[in-house]
Amino acid sequence: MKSKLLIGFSSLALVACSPSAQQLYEEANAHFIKNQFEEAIPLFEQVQLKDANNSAALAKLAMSYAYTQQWQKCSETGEQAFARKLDLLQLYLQVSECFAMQKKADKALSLLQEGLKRYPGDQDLKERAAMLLFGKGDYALSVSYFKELSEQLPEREDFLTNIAYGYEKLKKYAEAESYFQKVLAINAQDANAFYGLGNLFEHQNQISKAIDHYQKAIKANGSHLSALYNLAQLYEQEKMKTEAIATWKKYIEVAKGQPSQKSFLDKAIARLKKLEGGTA
Amino acid sequence: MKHSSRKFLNILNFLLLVFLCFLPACENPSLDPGGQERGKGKVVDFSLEPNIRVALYLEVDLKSGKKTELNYGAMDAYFVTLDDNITYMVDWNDIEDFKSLKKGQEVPYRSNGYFARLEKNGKVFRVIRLNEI
Repeated sequence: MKSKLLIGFSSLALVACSPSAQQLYEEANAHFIKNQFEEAIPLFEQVQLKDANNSAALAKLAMSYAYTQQWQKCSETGEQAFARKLDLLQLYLQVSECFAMQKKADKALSLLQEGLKRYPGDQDLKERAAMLLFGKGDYALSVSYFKELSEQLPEREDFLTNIAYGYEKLKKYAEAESYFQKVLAINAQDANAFYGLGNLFEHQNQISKAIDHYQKAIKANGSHLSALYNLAQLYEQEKMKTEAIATWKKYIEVAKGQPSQKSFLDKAIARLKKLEGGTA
Repeated sequence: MKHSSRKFLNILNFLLLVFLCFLPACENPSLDPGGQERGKGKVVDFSLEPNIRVALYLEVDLKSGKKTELNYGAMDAYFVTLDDNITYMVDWNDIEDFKSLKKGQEVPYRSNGYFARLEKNGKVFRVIRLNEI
């Protein structure tokens, strides 16, 4: 009897001493404000257990998962938040990122487009959607988004470059060239614009112009791997053996140790070996 | 000690305890939340409380010494904390602006003339309009 009473009292004391949902929320939020997301997460999770109606805690939990790169938890919690009509701009941005990081580009894109219906003027939403559209192969819509962005932020060279790449994919070479020229009007030493033009001329079989622009890209940025690779290939194609060997060597020197270049590097080494008299 | 004096001391202790317990309740609550009437600040935090009981009263009435009546009603309340470490309630007409806030974003604001007091915890806030100077 005595022990039962003791257990009863202890449980009562525990319940009375455990922090309320509001106290937990305030503690979690103090961490959230200081960007201490790892500390905030377990507290926000407890808040959700104690008070499932705390919408701010749910939104902040999703954001905290995003900041700590817990992509799946972020997207799941984010979807719960959207189901509860929590249509905050920051949630659209972060939860779509969480989907994108899980390679769920379609989900990410549909969320971004939903966000754009809600916040049509937001540049971050539009920029991310434009990138995903490009990746998905919807170049026409991607170009139109980048054009809108470029009108709002004309100093952003990368938007102009992306428009040019989009037009190139759509095989609208004249439009692409004009946008690369716009980039060069802002920055006369933009290696990516020179490279893009080189690519453009190569696709149109204007080889000497292509070589000229790849050379300009390399002059502007000596480590421009794509320009080095393409230029070496063109030299080889044009039977300019000495130039090809020198350019392959330069490419190999710069690309060595870069995991993203592995397959290109193997090819480059094989090409160089062949040019120098070995067998590929 | 005589029985009567011990009884007296007990009564005194009880009264002291009662006094101490009610002391905070007797305190006149400040209804002025402070904060600037207009300004600019970076967003540090946000919060929202659906269907919460709030009393709204005019700053001008409070400052002129008029008796402030607190009439509570339920509303969805949206809050933003700026880098002056003050939390403001966002004007009910500016919910779209509230929802599009980003952490760290600099936002201009001005007071809409109201203060707000939450019934549940007695916290008071200046009500502001966002993106206005």
